[in-house]
Amino acid sequence: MSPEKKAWIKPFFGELSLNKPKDTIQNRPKLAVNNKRTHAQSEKKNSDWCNTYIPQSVSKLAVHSGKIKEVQIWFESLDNKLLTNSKFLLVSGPSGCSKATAVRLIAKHCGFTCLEWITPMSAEPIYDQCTGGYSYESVQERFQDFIWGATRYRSLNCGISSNQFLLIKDIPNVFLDKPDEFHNIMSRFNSASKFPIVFIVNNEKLVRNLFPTEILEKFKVQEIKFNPITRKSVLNVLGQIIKAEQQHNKLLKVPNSNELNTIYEETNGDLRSAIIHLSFNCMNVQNKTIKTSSTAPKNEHLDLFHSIGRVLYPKRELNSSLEFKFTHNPDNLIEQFAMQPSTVLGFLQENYLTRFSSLIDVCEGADAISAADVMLSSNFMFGVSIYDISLSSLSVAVRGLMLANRNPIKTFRSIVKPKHFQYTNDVDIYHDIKRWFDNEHESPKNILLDLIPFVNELGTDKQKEATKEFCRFKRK
Amino acid sequence: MSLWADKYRPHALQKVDYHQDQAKHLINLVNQGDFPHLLFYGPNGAGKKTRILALLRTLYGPGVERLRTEHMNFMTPSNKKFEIMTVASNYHIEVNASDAGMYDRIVVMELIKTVAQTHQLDSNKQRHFKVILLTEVDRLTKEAQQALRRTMEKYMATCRIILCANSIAQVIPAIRSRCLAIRVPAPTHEDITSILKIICKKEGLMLPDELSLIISQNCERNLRRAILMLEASKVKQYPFDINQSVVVPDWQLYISDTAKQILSQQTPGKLLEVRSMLYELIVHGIPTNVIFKFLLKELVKNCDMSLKHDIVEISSYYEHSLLKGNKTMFHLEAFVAKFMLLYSKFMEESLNGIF
Repeated sequence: MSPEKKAWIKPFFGELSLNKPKDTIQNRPKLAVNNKRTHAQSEKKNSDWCNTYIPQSVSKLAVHSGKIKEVQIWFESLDNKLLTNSKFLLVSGPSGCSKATAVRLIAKHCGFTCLEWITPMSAEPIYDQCTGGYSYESVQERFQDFIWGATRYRSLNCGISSNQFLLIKDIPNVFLDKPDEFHNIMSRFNSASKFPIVFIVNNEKLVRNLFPTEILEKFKVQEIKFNPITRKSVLNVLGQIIKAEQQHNKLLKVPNSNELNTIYEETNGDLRSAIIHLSFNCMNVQNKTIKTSSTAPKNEHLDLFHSIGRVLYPKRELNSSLEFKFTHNPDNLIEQFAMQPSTVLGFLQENYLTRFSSLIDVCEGADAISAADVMLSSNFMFGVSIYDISLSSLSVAVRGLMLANRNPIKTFRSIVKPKHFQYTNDVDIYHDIKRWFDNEHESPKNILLDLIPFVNELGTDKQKEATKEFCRFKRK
Repeated sequence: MSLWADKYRPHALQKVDYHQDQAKHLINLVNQGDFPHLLFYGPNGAGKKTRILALLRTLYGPGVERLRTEHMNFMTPSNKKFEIMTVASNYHIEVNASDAGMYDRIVVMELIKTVAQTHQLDSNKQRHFKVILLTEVDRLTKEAQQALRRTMEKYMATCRIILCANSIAQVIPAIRSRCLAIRVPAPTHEDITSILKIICKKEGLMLPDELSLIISQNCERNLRRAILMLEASKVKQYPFDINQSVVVPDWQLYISDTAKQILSQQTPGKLLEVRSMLYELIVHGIPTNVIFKFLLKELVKNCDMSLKHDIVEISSYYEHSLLKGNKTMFHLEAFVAKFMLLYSKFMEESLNGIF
């Protein structure tokens, strides 16, 4: 697309643009649409079942009916033209729980046209007629333009339905750092526009960051939280898809109910991912059956506590009287820790003690942790990256603990956050001391060790007061 | 009212109470008019700072004692601002760079640059160099020490750096070789008792020999602490009593409590209790090396001679890894665990020997 062709008005012929090749649409905000994808596409050997079997009516949504009702009520309340109603809707929930699909369908059902923002992948230079040069527009500006344009002007083909709403699914990354800017845009939108706006966010942290409670109240944002799709609904949808697919593909390998259950467990209520898994499982590769386990699980959904539990309660499988191996491979465990090795090490250190039954084992475990910490701190090694060092030091700790723990205590104890996180602020303590003893030219460490113990006898009243709070040891 | 420890601090090298030979050497050094960078090291309360200040006084005259505290602002590469307190006179500046934590490198570089770039106003009358006094050099990070080493060479013409550290084991060799290292050993018990007596004489107090002996034994050969103890005892009760108890620092008592806990029972559960006690100490800002040292001292007291050797050996091992490592607690705990194991084994064996 040549830059000259880009005028200052960007036409959004959403429904017409469906016929165009896809890549031109992606580069700009587009009017996306109540997708009317038909089975025609699937005949072109299309295995994209997510789009093929997108639900065509509200009743076929796999979402809980209560949530559907909530969204529907919100859309209907817009029709009432009551000024008291909120213009914003925030839909949050884990990925693949049909948030966007549900919103689009319900909106269509209520007679709204959808205008969707899609963050442009690459910036194209814009031809400036005054200066004759090219300039780039930041994503933030574009987003602002989009919102501004969308609130002022209607799509040219809006004759079909008079109502339109903005759907913002991927909020540009710039706003993650600058929530204030985002709130600015929101407040301008709030005052200027007649159209409602729907945000779809799948990240809890993002929600907290961009939509804190005071913002929610200020702009009267209605929040609807979607839950992961239930097992029953997922199985239901998968069943329907299989049935429909069987009609034009007789050779389809139909997974049994066991396999379907595994798909659900691996995807954990993520419908999109479940359908993709299904299509992979159904592939009939020269009539060879593919084991379900060969599909890589989405991720094993082992959170930190789970993995730490596996280290602290090591399970052994005895091969013979002398040989054994661990049920959970330590290498896999180490890879599953999606956290900084030093943090993991902290968690292990804080929690290992209560799982060990004998002192000999404790000793070995403590040794391993101490060695791992030394390794972790040695950044200067030639030819070895810090990443490798940290992984191998974690390996030392994990293997050391697993081997040392011969008879783990099996009772349940919750896993605690490492204490030393809170205790690393000794600089602060020294700062305080400096404030209290500002007439002393000693180093705060020396004041703490030498002077404070005698402060009751020698210090001023103020110092006595200040140190009273701080320097008493809690004794049992 | 200033504390006795400050009041009776000798101001001239001629007047120091012990290590007189060393003082003579220092006087000779200064009288030559110029000297290399110096590195004073020795335990706490041995008189490093006293000697440094006395040295500065002989160099520049009483003007060095007119001190002012200044807050210097620094900026990290990530645009975070922080402040460091410095103590300065017209001739020297004293700073504890390790206050800045991980940003100590910036302090060392910026401070020396700003101080060393200006010459003395009147170089005929005054010395042609200024002095930068860096305390607690052993707590500086390796990066800061590397930076120090470079700046030391660069600004040799305009400034001399005096470093002050507890131990040179953690000072990188490059710095050690660039400085004249001067060790200030802790005063002996006799030195301490005689100094305490001198102070009491000047204050017009009667100090019984027994009390001075108790203080000198309880102060860990730390003169500053000894004088503070004396003053505290005086505030508590005067005239002195022979059987008067001296105030022992609270943290020291707490460490010996911890040691008692360790000795009372050797199980993983007890170790957990000990851990929380050690954390309690760390929260209160007691440096880990101090905790380690006193803990070892208390533990060894209760051990059989044959065990002592092993205990000291493992303690030196874990102290080393503590310095190498990052999380001091891990190593302390490993040491305690190992001690418990050795101790309980030994107790079992000796019990078996009896029956």
